[in-house]
Amino acid sequence: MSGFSKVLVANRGEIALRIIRTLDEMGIASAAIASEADRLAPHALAAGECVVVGPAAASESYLNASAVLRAAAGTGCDAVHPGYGFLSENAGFAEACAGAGITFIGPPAAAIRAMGSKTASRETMERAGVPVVPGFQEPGADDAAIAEAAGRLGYPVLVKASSGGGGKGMRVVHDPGALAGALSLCRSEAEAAFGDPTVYLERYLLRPRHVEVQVFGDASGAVFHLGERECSVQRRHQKILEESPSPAVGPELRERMGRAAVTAAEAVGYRNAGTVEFLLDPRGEFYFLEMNTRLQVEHPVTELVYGVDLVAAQVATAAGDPPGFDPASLVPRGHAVEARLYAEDPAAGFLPQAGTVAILRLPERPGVRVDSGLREGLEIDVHYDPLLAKITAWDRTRTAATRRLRNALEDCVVLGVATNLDFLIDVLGLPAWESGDLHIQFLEEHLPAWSAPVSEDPRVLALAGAAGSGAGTAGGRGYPSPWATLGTWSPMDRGK
Amino acid sequence: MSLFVTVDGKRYALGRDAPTRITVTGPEAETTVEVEAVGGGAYLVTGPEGGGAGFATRIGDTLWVRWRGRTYRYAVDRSRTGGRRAPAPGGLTAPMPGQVLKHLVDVDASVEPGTPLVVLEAMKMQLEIKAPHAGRVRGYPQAEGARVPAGALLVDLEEAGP
Repeated sequence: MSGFSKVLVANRGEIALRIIRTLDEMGIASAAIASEADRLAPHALAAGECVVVGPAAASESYLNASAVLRAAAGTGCDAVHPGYGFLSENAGFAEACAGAGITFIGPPAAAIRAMGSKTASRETMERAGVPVVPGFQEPGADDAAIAEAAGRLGYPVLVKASSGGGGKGMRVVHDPGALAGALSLCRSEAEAAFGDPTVYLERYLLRPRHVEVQVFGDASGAVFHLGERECSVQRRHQKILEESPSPAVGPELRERMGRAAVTAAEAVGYRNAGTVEFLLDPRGEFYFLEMNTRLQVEHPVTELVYGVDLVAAQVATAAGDPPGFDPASLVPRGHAVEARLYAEDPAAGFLPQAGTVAILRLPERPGVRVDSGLREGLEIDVHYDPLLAKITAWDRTRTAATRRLRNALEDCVVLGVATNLDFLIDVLGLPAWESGDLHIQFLEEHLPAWSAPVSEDPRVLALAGAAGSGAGTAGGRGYPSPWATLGTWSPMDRGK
Repeated sequence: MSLFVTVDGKRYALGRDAPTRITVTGPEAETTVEVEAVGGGAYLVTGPEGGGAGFATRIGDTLWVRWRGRTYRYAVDRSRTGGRRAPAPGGLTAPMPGQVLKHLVDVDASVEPGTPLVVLEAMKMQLEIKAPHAGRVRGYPQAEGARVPAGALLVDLEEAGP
């Protein structure tokens, strides 16, 4: 069906494998790229061929646009799939592909660029009539004008530095009396941190949910949506659990959010798969956050609920073919929940962890999908995103899908590198998860100080002892000679 | 041989008495658990409170265990003479459970490095513990004939001054 003969998969890890498998199913040859450190990684071995594009540092390999293009040309690929991250939202790379006569499997460069700037995309959305978080942004405004604007927006308001980021120069103001003080503090913080004292106001949303809509623009130019995903459970502003449908979204709200998302995509001439992110407040009002102009990490929950292959649809669309399903007949079915397995320590600020995956077991259960970039012996190193695998469970109801996912996570074994596996299991066991009462501060509220399980169970200690003394390791069930391990000990000379 | 780990301030000796038998000796109890390697890091555990399949591996000085849907990490405690609970500088410990057969040197005697100090019978073998350095024998915490767990202090040896 597709016009491509070979596609370069310009990514690594689980997403590269996931794309290669769809290409296999479509009968399209694949080529992978790898950094020197990833030469023997699963994704590098899974494709028909692999080009080492540079050293371990992503900036010199996976982000090296000219090396990636050379790899595409050198392997005779007629298209590049960028996955997510790396070069996927780089408009310059999309243009360079076109210039080299290679199809970029993704949106037009102009759409990537239009959504690339937060402030510019906000203006575009306002013009298109897509709701944005109400705010007040007039660089020259004096305190009286700002106070008046704050009254109009309604308290609490958020004072933010225009050039800000990372929480600096940001204050929540709950009542008018505290506004003047907050403005002066934010201005001095912003001046010190960014050299620009300009601040602006936004309505502060209390306990909003992160709900995003999967949109798709087909080759004919028609844009449609595939429902929503809720991704409110986040740490460090990054998602760890995602589900579809959202427990807060019914048919009527789905229709409204879907329409707003389609409008947003149409406003920038969108083609291919994209995601429009919204904040949804407890009253059912939603506001545009940003658009991700690429395949999303959590796309499997949508695939399971709608029974589609979004990567196949991306490839077909880029080749000018229909997406492989009829958008008018899409009906969501059941519930899917995805857990992201990260090499990180939830007991230590979710810091990324390095190590070797010494022992690995991934779940195999009905209704469970595993997207993994792991194998035993793989070195997890700090050069890349610490996402190791995604475990996604589908079932008829949210409760059943959650139970299935917990069982699957309990089946997982990853020894040798610290992961968030046990943390994920604990989150899925929270009554607040069960009730579906989610918001973006969910983890801070419900699991503020998690610590890893500790055990003095003799069975657990005996397992540690068995592994520690060498039994069952690669050499088999060998029982090490005490003489090899006794140190200062030596056998008695019984003849004396 | 035994490994030592400290959990929640308590020191545990993990001793192998037989190819598939691990004795866990803590401050309060000693428990023997059958642990049979299945291969690929998997083990069949048979313990007093019920068994099952578990996974474990050692990487450097970290012992990794997966048991009933939870992951545990233990650091091998290399201080031979005990953790905070049992400070015994200069002493030497039993590397596996056994029976003290004989004290070889009188209390208060000065010894040279390599001098045999205690005979321990363990794993149907007689082993002798030798002085790792010159010093003075201050005493024997375990009497002759005593059955001792792995990690038990056998000799209190004061290191000779420089």
